Amino acid sequence: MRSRPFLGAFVTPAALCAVALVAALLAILQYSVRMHVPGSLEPGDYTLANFVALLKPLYARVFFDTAWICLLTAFATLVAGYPVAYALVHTKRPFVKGLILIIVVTPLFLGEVVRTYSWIIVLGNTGFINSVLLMLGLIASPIQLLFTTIGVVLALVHVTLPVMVVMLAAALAHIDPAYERAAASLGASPLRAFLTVTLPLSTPGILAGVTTAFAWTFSAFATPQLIGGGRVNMVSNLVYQLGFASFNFPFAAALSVAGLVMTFALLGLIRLGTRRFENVTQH
Amino acid sequence: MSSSRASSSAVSLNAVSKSFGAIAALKATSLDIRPGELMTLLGPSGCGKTTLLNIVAGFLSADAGDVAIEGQRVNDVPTFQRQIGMMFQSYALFPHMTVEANVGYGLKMRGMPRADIHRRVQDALVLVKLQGLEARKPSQLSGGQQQRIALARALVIEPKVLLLDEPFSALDKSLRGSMQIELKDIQRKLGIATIFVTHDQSEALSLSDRLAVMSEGVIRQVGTPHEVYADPADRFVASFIGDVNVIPGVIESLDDGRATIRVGNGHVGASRTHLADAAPGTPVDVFVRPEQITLAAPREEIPLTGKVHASVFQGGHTDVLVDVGVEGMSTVLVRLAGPAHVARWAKGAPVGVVFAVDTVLAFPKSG
Repeated sequence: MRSRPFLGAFVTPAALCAVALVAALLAILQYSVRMHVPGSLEPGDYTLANFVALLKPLYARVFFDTAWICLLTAFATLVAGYPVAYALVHTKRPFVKGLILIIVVTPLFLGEVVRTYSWIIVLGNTGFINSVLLMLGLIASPIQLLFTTIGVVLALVHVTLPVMVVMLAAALAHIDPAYERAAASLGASPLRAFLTVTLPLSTPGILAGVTTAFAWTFSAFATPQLIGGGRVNMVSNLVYQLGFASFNFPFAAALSVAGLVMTFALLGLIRLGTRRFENVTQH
Repeated sequence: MSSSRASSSAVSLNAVSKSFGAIAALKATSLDIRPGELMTLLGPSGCGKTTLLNIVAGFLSADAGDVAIEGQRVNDVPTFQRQIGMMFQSYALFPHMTVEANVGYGLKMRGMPRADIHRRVQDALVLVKLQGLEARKPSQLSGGQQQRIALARALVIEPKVLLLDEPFSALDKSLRGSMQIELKDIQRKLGIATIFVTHDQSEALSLSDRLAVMSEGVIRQVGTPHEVYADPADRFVASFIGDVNVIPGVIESLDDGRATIRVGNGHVGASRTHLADAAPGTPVDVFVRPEQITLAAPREEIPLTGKVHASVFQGGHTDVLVDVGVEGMSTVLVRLAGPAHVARWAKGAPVGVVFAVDTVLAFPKSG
């Protein structure tokens, strides 16, 4: 094996970060099995009561809602992102390519709070969407978008889109254009060529995009906090409430651990269910 | 467009041109491919051969001119309705489908019942001599097997014309020869008009019924392999097809059909085809194939003398490179049939180069 003289020096910062992260996770894990002492920030004896309490319908409901919002967001982002990624890969004009890229990536550069407040302005009862629909006479009274799951999902799709588009574009760019040409030469219309060749060949990108979108959304905090306005609660919001409003650190820790476990479990399920597509493009 | 001419052709191109930005990839080009013939588009990369093929396939649209397939103008017909069969350089077998699904794809697109598809696929696999691999994925096949599948997939739909885009370039040399023969056999058996694009002149000579030699967006010559080899239309074709020595000479005398050209201390005859405006004293380039010259002991009256630079034993023949002291050319390549030349013409041996034929090709000096 070749010697790598700089390996140690290069790996040290990452290793230190990893150690700190593991220590923090272990602290959370430790907190999650301690008793809450009301009026004190110090935890009490070891117990599993926190995890038992998670099974209460009130909390179980939040987990279910979070998973549902994540699934909706991942799916909606896929549907919205696929055409964008396709256009990004297939346009021949550098200008159009640059424009699509800039529009898609912008949400990543806006601060989370700024972006979320813009959505509040757009989604409000006198906001952009409702004003336009009212003006066009399509609705008689404003639709409730703010403080609803739909509103939260919309805002989450916005911030998840860059990741999805980049992952899909990477997958689409790897598909040899000769495949679509071959399909056309064999009598497939552009739509059928897309459905029978390009779409199946892009499944690795779809899986990667959906999986990442799901995990990315699971930890969303500011968006559901501000747009949900307390009426749409995700796990992060519950952790915040319990930790910083009730100062129940042990229970907040137990929620976090459960959230982490659930994310891994759901990702594992998605992976399991789609494994057969994995080998699709292996050459 | 003259419809009478088009109707007797499998594919007819009439003054077709195509530019990419400021670059004229294809200048007004006309070409007819007869029913059942294998027409090769031959030329160096960037000569426009692939552009022409893509225009016939419908992947590119011509800036001007007409494309007709079996007499029907197809300029505005999209690829998927042109009824072509195409084999790609990379084969472009769908990696997520089995061999059976790949070959049957075109029939499925045509809405054929599954039982019929299965039968036709089997027939096609028999044709390319590759059965028993129906359930495999393309990645599980060798390069030669992939090529057979790609050919079966293109042929099973019974296309009006078969388009081949450098199909042999990915194969190793030993496999290439046998695949070429098989392809030619299948093509002849089916009698399907075929356009074959390649930059490999030996491939073009061995496979084509006719070939079109292209350079810089223009067809330089159309003819049978023998015509193009023996009677090239211009300097480009003469130097692109086969090995050739370009030896400077001077026209000594002219009569009706022939020119006598002085080369070194000797003479050689040339047809006047390419020397119409020449006069005695005009400097020319003599184009002579390696097998049209031979070696002799150096003496007076011999056109060129020099020393053996290298003798290369090639199995069936021997290539001898001779250093001749002529300005503007380094070595002359002489191809001698049979073995036993290597020892006789050893490196450094003094040698004379003589013409083995009495008529060679000559072109006016370029530039």
